[in-house]
Amino acid sequence: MLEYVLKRVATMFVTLFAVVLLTFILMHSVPGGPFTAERKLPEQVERALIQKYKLDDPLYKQFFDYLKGLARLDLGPSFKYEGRTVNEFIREGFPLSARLGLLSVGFTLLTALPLGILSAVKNGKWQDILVMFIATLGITIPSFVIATALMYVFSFRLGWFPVFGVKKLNGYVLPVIALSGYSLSFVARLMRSSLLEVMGQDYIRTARSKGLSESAVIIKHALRNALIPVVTILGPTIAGLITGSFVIEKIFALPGMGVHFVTSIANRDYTAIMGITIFYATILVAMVFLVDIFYVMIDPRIKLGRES
Amino acid sequence: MLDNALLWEKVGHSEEAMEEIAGVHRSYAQDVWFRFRKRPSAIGGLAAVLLLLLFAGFGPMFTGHSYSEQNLSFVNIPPRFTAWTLPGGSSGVQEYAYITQSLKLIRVSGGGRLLAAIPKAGDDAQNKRILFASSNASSSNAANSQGLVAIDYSDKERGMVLTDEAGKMLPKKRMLNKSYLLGTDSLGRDLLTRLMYGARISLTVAFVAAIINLLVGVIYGGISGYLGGNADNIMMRIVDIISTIPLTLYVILIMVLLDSGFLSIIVALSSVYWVSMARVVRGQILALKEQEFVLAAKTIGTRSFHIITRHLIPNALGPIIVTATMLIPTAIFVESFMSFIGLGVSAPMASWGTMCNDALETMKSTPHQLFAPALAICITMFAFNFIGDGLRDALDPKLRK
Amino acid sequence: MEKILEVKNLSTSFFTSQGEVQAVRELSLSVAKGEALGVVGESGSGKTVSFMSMLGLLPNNGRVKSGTALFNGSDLLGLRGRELRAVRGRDISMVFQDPMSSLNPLKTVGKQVAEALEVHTKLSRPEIKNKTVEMLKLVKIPEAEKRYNSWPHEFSGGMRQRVMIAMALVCEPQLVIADEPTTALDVTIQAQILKLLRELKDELGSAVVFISHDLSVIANMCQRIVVMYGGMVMEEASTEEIFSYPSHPYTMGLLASIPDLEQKKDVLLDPIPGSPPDMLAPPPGCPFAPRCTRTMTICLKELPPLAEAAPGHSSRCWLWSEFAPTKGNVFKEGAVHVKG
Ligand SMILES: Nc1ncnc2c1ncn2[C@@H]1O[C@H](COP(=O)(O)OP(=O)(O)OP(=O)(O)O)[C@@H](O)[C@H]1O
Ligand code: SF4
Ligand SMILES: [Mg+2]
Repeated sequence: MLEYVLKRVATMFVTLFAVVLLTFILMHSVPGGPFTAERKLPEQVERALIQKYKLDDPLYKQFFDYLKGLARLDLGPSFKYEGRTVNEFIREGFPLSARLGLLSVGFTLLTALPLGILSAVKNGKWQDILVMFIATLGITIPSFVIATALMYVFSFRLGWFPVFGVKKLNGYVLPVIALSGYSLSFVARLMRSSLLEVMGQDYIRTARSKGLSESAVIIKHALRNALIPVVTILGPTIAGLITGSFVIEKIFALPGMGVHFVTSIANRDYTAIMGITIFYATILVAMVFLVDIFYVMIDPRIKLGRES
Repeated sequence: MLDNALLWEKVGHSEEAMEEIAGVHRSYAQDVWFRFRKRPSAIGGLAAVLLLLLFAGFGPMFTGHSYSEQNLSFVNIPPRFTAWTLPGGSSGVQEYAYITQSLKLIRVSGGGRLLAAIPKAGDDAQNKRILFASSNASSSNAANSQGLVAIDYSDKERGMVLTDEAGKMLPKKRMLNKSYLLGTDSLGRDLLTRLMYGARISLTVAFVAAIINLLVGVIYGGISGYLGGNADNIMMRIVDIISTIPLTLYVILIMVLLDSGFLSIIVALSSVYWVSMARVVRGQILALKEQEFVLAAKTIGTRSFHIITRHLIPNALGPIIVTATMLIPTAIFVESFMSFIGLGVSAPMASWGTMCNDALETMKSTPHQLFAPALAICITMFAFNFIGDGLRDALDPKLRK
Repeated sequence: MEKILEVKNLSTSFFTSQGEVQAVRELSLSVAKGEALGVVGESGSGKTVSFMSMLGLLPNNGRVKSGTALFNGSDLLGLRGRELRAVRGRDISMVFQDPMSSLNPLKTVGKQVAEALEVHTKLSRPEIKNKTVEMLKLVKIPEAEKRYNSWPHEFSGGMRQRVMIAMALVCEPQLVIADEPTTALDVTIQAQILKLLRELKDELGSAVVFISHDLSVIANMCQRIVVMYGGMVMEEASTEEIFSYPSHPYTMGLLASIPDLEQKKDVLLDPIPGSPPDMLAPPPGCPFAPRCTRTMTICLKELPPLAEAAPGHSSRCWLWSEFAPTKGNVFKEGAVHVKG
């Protein structure tokens, strides 16, 4: 087990390094440098800025400085806002995004798994058709459309929920639903197809041939097997929910990470874009890592110290 | 009956006769089409995509507007509105008026065509009225030339109403907007035309991106699978690393780097989404290599051609075709998403995502501006997803006997 | 002899997107107490589906269309839910074709064997565990106590099949259906498993239906053999009769394809030329007609009836018709050469 964990930690760092390198290169290849992008700055101001951000250092040195910063968990200063750091942006925005994301994770799991199971058990019946219809909607309709539609109907037309903000607790309802829409549908579909596939396996027939009741077959034999593929996609799903809320935040005007990210993009605040991207990537990689470890623990077929 | 001697004659059987008795054979393509056709959703998706192509390709010829032409007098007009009957239609042509959100009055024909803004004649702030000279310019009838109407906004409950000079409410009726079937946006541009141009952009981006991704994926995956060994290992590690991060993040970075625009979005989409294709292609190549090996070992001779053309290639092609089809809705989605967060094509060009984005702020007062492009995105996503699902089932070699 | 299972006119179909697959057609057979019946036929001839139909274990798209299957006098096909489950595993149990996929990978083997006892007996937990371990010893699993807690993936194919056999026999059923229990195993393991099955059958006195596509495997296990093709019974007789007086061209084909001991096994990859019929649209006449060397015009037109070739020996072939010019003689003269 330890060997496996160490190996996974190593790959995790390789991946993160690649991400940092890639984002760094991308953000430093903006033609003409970051300060010439929009309006022209006075010569000496530009020079001062370049000095301040050490932009005239050779690129590799800048990169190492950046890495050193990262090692101290310091994402550096913002390019656009004097005296502010990227860390501050994250500290301001992330708690709300994380709250939104975790609520969505909970909502997704609590609804998607039962719905997927129901759908598989009632395969071909109206319950299945209904659930799969909704799941297809959730997969195909982009989240920003879901969000605006929900907002129009439930906030403007019916007035059930506040239009903006999360001052009241029910302000979370629509953003969470809109944010979960895709992952919920995806997990429900995966759960269904996985359970259906498992139900067609030989060992399920074996269990039935022993005289187990259908519910015992499902609970004791099918569910655990069917959950394995669901667990494997849980890492990216959770990370996606925690980090992927920028459109939702924009629509519901929630001051989370996503808003900072979109603003940074609009402002061409390169250090902020780079920092937030790396932060997102770290969360994602960490989630995938945790889920992988969990996966190894629930599947006895994966031997300790040996990869899948 | 059974004593008929002919019945008891021995028959020989040729290869074809045996095949015929054993069952009919369809070609692979026929087989796929046969199964595809059986799914209403797949056929529906295909029909929708064809209609969409017609809509995008030829639609703008028939709307009579261009996507960038602005008409500031006809701003934010919905596709269906309440029209108030203008008094004094003595010349026989009854005309109507529509009250815009910015409290202007627009003359409307009986058929629902927007004619022109009615000039303002004065404010009557005391009575909370705005006066307009409603005289019909075309029928410059002296008796009517004085006709005044007023927008009366005195009663909050009742909302804005149009009254005659004396303050009597004029009769009203609901009308469809014949000049702009889907209404206009905040700059007075025709939404339908913009939607059609948006379709061109979204579809072009999607198809081009899908084709480039297909090519890159096939080449990358093909090389990786063909070389095998260490090269394959390294190439797949790279793919693994790339796909650990949500691809939208890369697209955003690349868009930031390239600046928004039509070409950049294609470049951005094309530079990341090939990874799934590369995986699929590599997997198929590996499978093919294995089967070729088995084939060579068995040396079945003439039958091997049959096996290769009817089983191996189609089996390998299936997942590639499905992945390519599924790239299209992904591209449409990412494009609209990018446009929505302000990284899409730049004005006056419009994609569906930018149209949604533009309409977001005024969603409460002009929901039609949001609904039209949102619905277009949804329909397109559905159509391509259904086609993809249909193809997946139709191509699935497991179902093939 | 007292019959414990008597199947009459069983027909089962699968309903697929391409149409109705008639997997079993008008199948009749019976098993006597303590008897070992062999069911033989090529892949796809409907062997598995027949017995799955009786135990209600068909996949969702499968349906029994007609027939009866009397087990100790009560019709299995009429049983529902609880009654049927009471029979499964306790009175009739099964050993499946593929031991690699027939065990739940996420449950220890001991638990999986014990489960049958949990369902059908009122024994206490320790008693169940004891009995399970005893059973594992009986099927010759070394260190049974320790192996009780092993995962299926830690076992080899042969060992897994032993576990499956233990699972099938732990409730001492009256009838065991062994569906190609050795097909997925290599030859030496095959022999061991067959030997084990024979011994256990004698020890427990259960009746056994032994399904296989290999006549030689069945030969030293069973007293009687049913030959299936295209979802139908083609020939039925005692094992001796089948081997000494095969009375159906298909059976003769099967016999001819048994590899001789000196011959290498893979020489005979495709013993009877051609492939089994497409059960989506079975030929109107004899299902074997496209591959038979003796096909007559009538064979293509009408389904042959099950005719009596000798007392206790039936064959579904037009050559046994009283109108056939040779009426069965061909078989005695050995004139049917399947190959060549
Ligand atoms: N779920 C299913 N849907 C459609 N057809 C099926 C299904 N299961 C089995 N069949 C068909 O039923 C026929 C009989 O299958 P069956 O499994 O009984 O054959 P078998 O004699 O046991 O062969 P094998 O030696 O391969 O086990 C085959 O033609 C098969 O294609
Ligand atoms: S009925 Fe005819 S085709 Fe069928 S086995 Fe007998 S001879 Fe051959
Ligand atoms: Mg079988």
